[in-house]
Amino acid sequence: MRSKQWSGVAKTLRAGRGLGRAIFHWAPRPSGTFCSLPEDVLVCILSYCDLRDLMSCMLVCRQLGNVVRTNDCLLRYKTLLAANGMVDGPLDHLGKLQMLQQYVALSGSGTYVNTHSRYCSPIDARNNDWTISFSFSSCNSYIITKRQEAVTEVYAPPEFPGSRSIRHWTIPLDTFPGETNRAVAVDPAQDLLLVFQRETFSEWDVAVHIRSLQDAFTPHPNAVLPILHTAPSLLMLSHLSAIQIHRHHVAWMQLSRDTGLGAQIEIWDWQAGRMIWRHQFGVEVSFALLDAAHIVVTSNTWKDLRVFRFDPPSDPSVDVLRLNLPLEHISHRIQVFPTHPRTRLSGQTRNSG
Amino acid sequence: MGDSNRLTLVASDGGKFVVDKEVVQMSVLLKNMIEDLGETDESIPIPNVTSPVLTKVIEFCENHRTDAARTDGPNVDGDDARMRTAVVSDWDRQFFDVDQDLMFEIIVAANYLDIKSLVDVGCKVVADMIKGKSPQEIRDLFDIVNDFSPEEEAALRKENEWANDR
Repeated sequence: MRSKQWSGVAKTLRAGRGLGRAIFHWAPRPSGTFCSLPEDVLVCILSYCDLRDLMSCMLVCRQLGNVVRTNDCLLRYKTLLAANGMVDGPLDHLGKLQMLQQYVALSGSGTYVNTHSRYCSPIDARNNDWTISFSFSSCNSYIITKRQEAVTEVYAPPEFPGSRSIRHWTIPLDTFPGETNRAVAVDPAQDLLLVFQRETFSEWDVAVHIRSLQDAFTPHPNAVLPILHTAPSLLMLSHLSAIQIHRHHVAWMQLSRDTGLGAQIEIWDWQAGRMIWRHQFGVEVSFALLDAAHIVVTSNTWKDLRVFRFDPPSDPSVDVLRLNLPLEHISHRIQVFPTHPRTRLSGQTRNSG
Repeated sequence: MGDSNRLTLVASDGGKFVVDKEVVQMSVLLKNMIEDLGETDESIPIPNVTSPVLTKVIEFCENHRTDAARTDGPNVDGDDARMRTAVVSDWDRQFFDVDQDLMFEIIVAANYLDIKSLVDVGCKVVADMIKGKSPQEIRDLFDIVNDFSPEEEAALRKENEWANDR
């Protein structure tokens, strides 16, 4: 860009008009105040600010607020949070910064951390007859299905910061009879329970029951439809995974048994009962909902994080933002959002007495 | 003149600065221009950059001439998925220990002359000044007028509530 401008200047010079005037044409106005900084400089400053400082800047004045809003500053920051194992939303038991510090302390600075398996594995190893999964929403809940006892238990962090009382719900398995192959996701803040089942008439079509978490027999009052039906376009569907709830959106991934087919992500508005966005990736991917409009996706085979806009829907093949991953951490970033976070609750039977 | 390794820069107020070509070339703008012009004896005017500002800019470039190759490496830009940290060296911090007007003028001049490392350091210093401050404290710091109505401000605050209690 600049060199083009300057070959113009060189021509002007050769035409004998003098260098001073040529440069003057490109010179900025004199300035000595914060608000007169060029926008790209303000964006550069904001890129060094953390989330709380960005929020403060939005409230300083219109100009600065607009710079924050229109330059992907927040989107970029949220993407970084998600890449470091955190999803947007009200806070649960740990502050985001605190979580990040803990993970960094555990795994070395700059490492991308698999938060999912850190929670799941230790419990899983001791309890062969239980199936543990992790549900992502406004807070991160544990879902434990105890097939012997015919219940699914949900554990969620305390409702209020500082409180020590873990919330707990027990859902009888016979709430959803006739089907053993299911996944469960919850959002305690919305009293939402989602139960995923295979349709009885089909091996790969999926039914999603939208219930009240307090009363699993009752459809959720905010949902227009009590059940969503989705027919994945992937053949040989293996299973659903990585279900995430963000307010009225729910996203999940369908993985193919034939790994060559990759993964498909669907995003639904569970209140309105309609699918908003769907895209098939040719590779296995991991993802996180960032906010009410954006999703970040990455894959073992990519060198970047890609952010897509799903509401209002944009072309699913075009990403709105790309963040390169640090080259030296390629082995870690495979776990940014693990592709198999064990959200599938099925098929495990008890071997021992 | 005569020395092909040195160039003369002329500030907006007429102040003349004889500088090593290598130092001048840390400015992408001037580097491209020198390449375009080839050998020339003409001094280079830098309009709208005053002598005090240009003095500081040259001071920075002289100090950072040896690490230019290192900091402008390709990985600096390519690594944007990592949390950016505002670590500023002692020398750079001292360099920017000037009054605010001059600080912003240096950043604007660096941006205009396209000296990436100086813009970056300046931005880090400003970000550090903002750190942990409330909107009102930021306004006081930079003498900014609040042009939001109280209702607008309240609405914005509510919208961003979740971010405030990390």
